[in-house]
Amino acid sequence: MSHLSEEQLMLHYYREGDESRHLDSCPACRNEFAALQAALDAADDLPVPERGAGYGGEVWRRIAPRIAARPRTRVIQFPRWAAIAAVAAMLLLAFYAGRFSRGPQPAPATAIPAEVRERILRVTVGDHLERSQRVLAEVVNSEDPVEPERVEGLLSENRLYRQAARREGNVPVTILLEELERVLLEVAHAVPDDRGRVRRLIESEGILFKVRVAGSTLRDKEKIWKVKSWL
Amino acid sequence: MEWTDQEAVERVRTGDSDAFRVIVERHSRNLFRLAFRMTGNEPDAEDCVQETFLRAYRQIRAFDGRSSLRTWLYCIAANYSRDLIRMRQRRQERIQPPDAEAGDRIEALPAQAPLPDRVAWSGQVREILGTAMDRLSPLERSAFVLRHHEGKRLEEIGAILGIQPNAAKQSVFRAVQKLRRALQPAMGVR
Repeated sequence: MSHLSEEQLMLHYYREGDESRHLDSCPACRNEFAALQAALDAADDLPVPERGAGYGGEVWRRIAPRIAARPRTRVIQFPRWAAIAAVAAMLLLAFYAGRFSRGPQPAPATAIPAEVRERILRVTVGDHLERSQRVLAEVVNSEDPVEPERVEGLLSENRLYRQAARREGNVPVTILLEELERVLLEVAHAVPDDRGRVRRLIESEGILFKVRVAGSTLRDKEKIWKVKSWL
Repeated sequence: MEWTDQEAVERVRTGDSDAFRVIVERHSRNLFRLAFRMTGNEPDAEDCVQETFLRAYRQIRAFDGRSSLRTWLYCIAANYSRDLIRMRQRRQERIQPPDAEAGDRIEALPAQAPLPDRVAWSGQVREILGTAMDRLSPLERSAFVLRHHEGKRLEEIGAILGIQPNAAKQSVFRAVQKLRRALQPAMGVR
C-alpha cells in the first residue's frame, strides 16, 4: 500500500481533502498525521493581543480627519499657480494648526518642544522629498533602472515620516506622504515591463509636481526660520 | 440604526462618510487580528488596520459586491501586510543574515514532564513558531494565516492574494513544511 504524501495529509488536516479511509487502515500514515496535527495545533496557541469593544471607535477617531480631508470626487484640474498656492497654504495652515491646537495639558519635562519637532519634521521631510523627487524623475526620464536599495530606503523613511506626521496631526503632509508611498511601492515592485505603466502612474497622479512644490515650500520655510534666528 | 455592510457601502458611495464609521467599528477587531498574525507585531498591525480602511474608503466605488465586504477588506489588508513584511525582510537581510541555529535552541519535552517545565516548554514552542513565521516568505505567511487562522478555503485565498488556487495551496504547503521542520527539535516529530 502506498502512503499518503505530506501534502495529502495537510489537505486532510484542513478538510480540503478526505483521507479518512486510508488513515483508518494505515498506522504509519496515522502516526505521520498525528505528528502533523500536533505541530499545526501548536500554531493555534500563538498569542494575539486583545483589542476591546471600543477599538473600532478608536480606529475611527484616528482616521476620520483624514477621511474628512480627502476629496471624494474627481479633482478638477486647476492652473499650476493655483496648485502651488494651495499646497503652500495647506502646509502653512498645518504647521500653525499644529502649533496652536495643542490642548491645555502640560508637556512632560522631557518632551521635545513643538517648535523643535516642527523643525525636525520640516528638515527631514524636506530632505526626503528632495531625494524622492530625484528618484521619481529618474524613473520618468531615464531608461536605466533605479537601484532597488534606494527605493526601499525611501519607502522605509517615508513610512516613518508619514507616521510622525500623522501623530503630529499634520494632515496635508500625511496625505502627501501617503500618495508618495503608493507610488514608491509601485516603483519598488515594478518589473522591467512595468516601466511604462509606472511612468504613466507618476504622471497621472501629478506626484512629482506635488513633491517638488511641497519640498520647495519646506525649504523656503526653513530659510525664513534661519534668517529669523540670526536677527 | 443597524445597517448591513452593503447598505453602509451604498451610503458611503452617496457621500455619507459617517456610514463608513459603521464599517470601521464593525471590522476593526477582526482586521487587527489578521494584520497582527500576518505582520507579527502591534505597530505594523495598527498601521495596517488604518491603511486598510483608508484604502477601502478611497476605492469604495471599486467594491462590486461579488465577495463580502469582509473578504474585500481582508484582500486589502493581506496585500498591504505582504508589502510591509517584504520591506521588513529586505531591511533585515541587509542588516543581518538569517539565524540558522535558532531552531536548535530547545530540547524535546518528555511526555511526563512536570507542569512548570511544560509551561516553559510551550513558551519556547511559541517563540520558535514566532521566529519560523517571521522567516516565511510574505506570500507563504499570508496564505498560511488565511488558511490556518482565518479558515479560508484555498480558492478564497487565491482570490484574496491574487494568485491561482494551486499557487495558494503550494504556498500554504511550503509554510506548513517550514513550520513543521522548525518545530521538530521541540516536538520530537519527524
